Amino acid sequence: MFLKIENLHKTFSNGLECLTSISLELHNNDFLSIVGPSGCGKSTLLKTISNLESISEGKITFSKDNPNISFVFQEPSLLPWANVFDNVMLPLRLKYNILNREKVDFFLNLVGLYEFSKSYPRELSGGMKMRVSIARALVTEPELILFDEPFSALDEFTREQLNYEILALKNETNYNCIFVTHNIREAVFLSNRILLFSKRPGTIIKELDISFPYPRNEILKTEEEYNHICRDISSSLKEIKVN
Amino acid sequence: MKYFLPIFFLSILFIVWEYFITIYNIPEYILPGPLGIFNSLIENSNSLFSALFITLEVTVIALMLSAISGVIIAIFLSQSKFIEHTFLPYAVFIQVTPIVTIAPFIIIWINDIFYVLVILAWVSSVFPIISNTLLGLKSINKNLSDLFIIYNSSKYQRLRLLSIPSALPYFLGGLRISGGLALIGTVVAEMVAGTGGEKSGLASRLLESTYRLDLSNALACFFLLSITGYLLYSFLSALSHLLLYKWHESALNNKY
Ligand SMILES: Nc1ncnc2c1ncn2[C@@H]1O[C@H](COP(=O)(O)OP(=O)(O)O)[C@@H](O)[C@H]1O
Ligand SMILES: [Mg+2]
Repeated sequence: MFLKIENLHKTFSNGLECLTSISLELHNNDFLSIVGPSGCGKSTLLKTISNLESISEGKITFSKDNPNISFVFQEPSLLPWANVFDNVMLPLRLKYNILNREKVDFFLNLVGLYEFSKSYPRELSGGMKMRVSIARALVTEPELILFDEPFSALDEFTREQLNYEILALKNETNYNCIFVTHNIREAVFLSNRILLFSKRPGTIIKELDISFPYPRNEILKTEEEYNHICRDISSSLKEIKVN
Repeated sequence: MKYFLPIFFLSILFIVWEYFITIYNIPEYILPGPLGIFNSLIENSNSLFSALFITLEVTVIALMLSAISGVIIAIFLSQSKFIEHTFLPYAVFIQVTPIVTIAPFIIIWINDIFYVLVILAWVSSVFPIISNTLLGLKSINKNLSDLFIIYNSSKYQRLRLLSIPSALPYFLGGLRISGGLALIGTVVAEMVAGTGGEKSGLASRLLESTYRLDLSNALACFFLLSITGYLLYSFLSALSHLLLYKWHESALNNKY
C-alpha cells in the first residue's frame, strides 16, 4: 500500500463543505480513476493529497516520508517564456537544484518530443503541450502522479493517442497514479480501479475493480465486457445526477 | 510604401503651412513657417543639440531610476495584502500630485539643479512601473504557482523563475508609458526650476526663445522635443518586442 486516506473531510474557510468521509487506499502500481459530477471536489481531493490544500478532518498517510509527487493539470500549464527543454528541467531545478540534461533528454524522448527541445510552448499543438506537461511530471521519477482531467481540452483522436501513451509510460516508469476524468470510457480503459463520487459534498459512492490485464490496447474497446462496464458506470452517474 | 504615405502627408502639411504664412504675410514672431524653423534648427544646431543632450540625459537617468525603483517597490508591495494597503496610497499620492507643486520644495532642499530635474522626472514617471509590475506580480497563473509549491521551490527561485518573467510584459508596458512621462517630467521641471545659461536643457531654451519672440527657435525646440519623445517611445517598444517576441502573445505578429 502506498497511500491511505482515512475519513477525510474538507470544508473551505468560507463554509463550503466540499468533501466528506473519504476513505481510500492506493496500492502500489495502482491506476486509480475518479469519476464524478463537476464541482464535487475531485480537484480539491488531489490538492489535499499534494498538500496544496489543508484538510479539515481525517488523515492522509503515505507509506514513506516525503513522497515524491507530481501533478498534471487540466491545462498544460507550461512556462510560456521557457522552451520545452527548460520546462521539463524545471522540477529538477526546483526540487533538487540540479541540471540533469541527460534525464530531461531521456523523458523528452519517451514522450516523442526530443526534436522539439528548443521550441516554445506557443509553437506546439495542444497534444504536444500536454506531452511536455507529462514529461515534466515524469522527470522527477515520482512515486505518485496526480492527473486532474488532463486530456479534457483535447480532441478525441489526441486523447486516445495519449491514453495509449500514458499506459505505455506507466509500464516503463512504474508510477502510482490517481486520474480524475469525466470521460467514463477513458477511465475504464486506463484504470484497474475506479471510484465514483457523489455530488458535493463529494464522497465515494461506488468502487469498481477493472480486472482487464495490462498491457491493454485498442482491441479492448471492442469487447462486450468493456462496453458493458462503461454503460453500467454511465447509468450509475445518471442516478447521482438525478438524486 | 510603409514610409511613403506618412512622409507624403507631412510634406503636404508643410507646404500648406508655408503657403499660408506667405499668402497672409504672417510675421515670424507670430508664426514662422517650416522653412524658417528648419533654418533656425541648422543655424543653432550646436547649442540646440547640446541642450537636447542635457534634457535627454535627465530623462534617461530618471527613467532608469524609475525602472529599478519601481520594480523594487512593486516586489515589496506584492509581499502581502497588508503591505500593499499600507504603502500603495503613497505611490498614488506621488502620482496624482502635480510636480509643479512639489518642485519648489525640492529646489529648496537640493542645491544641484541637475538632481532637482532628475528627482522631478523620477516622480512623474515611477508610478506606471509600480502599478503595472504589481499587477503582473499578482496575475501569476495559479497552476504554475501550485507547481512551484509542489516542488518545494525556494523564495528566490519563485521570484526569478516565475514572478519576474510573469510580470515582465506588464513591466514593459509600464516602461513605455513611463518613457513619455519622464520626458514630460523633465520638460516641466526645467520650466519650473528655471534653469538657465550654458547648462540649460531644451525646455528652458524654448521658454527663453519665446521671451525673445524668437519663435523659429522656440518651435525648433518644440519639434526636437516631440521627435525625441517619439523616438524614445519607439525605442522602448522595440526593446519590449526584443524581450517578448519569442514567447508572448502580444509579440506574435512580429510587429510593434
Ligand atoms: N479555495 C476555495 N475556496 C472556496 N471554495 C472552493 C475553493 N476551491 C474550490 N472551491 C469550491 O469547491 C467545489 C469543488 O471544487 P473542485 O474540487 O474544483 O471540483 P471538481 O474538480 O470536482 O469539479 C466547487 O464548488 C468550488 O467552487
Ligand atoms: Mg476539477
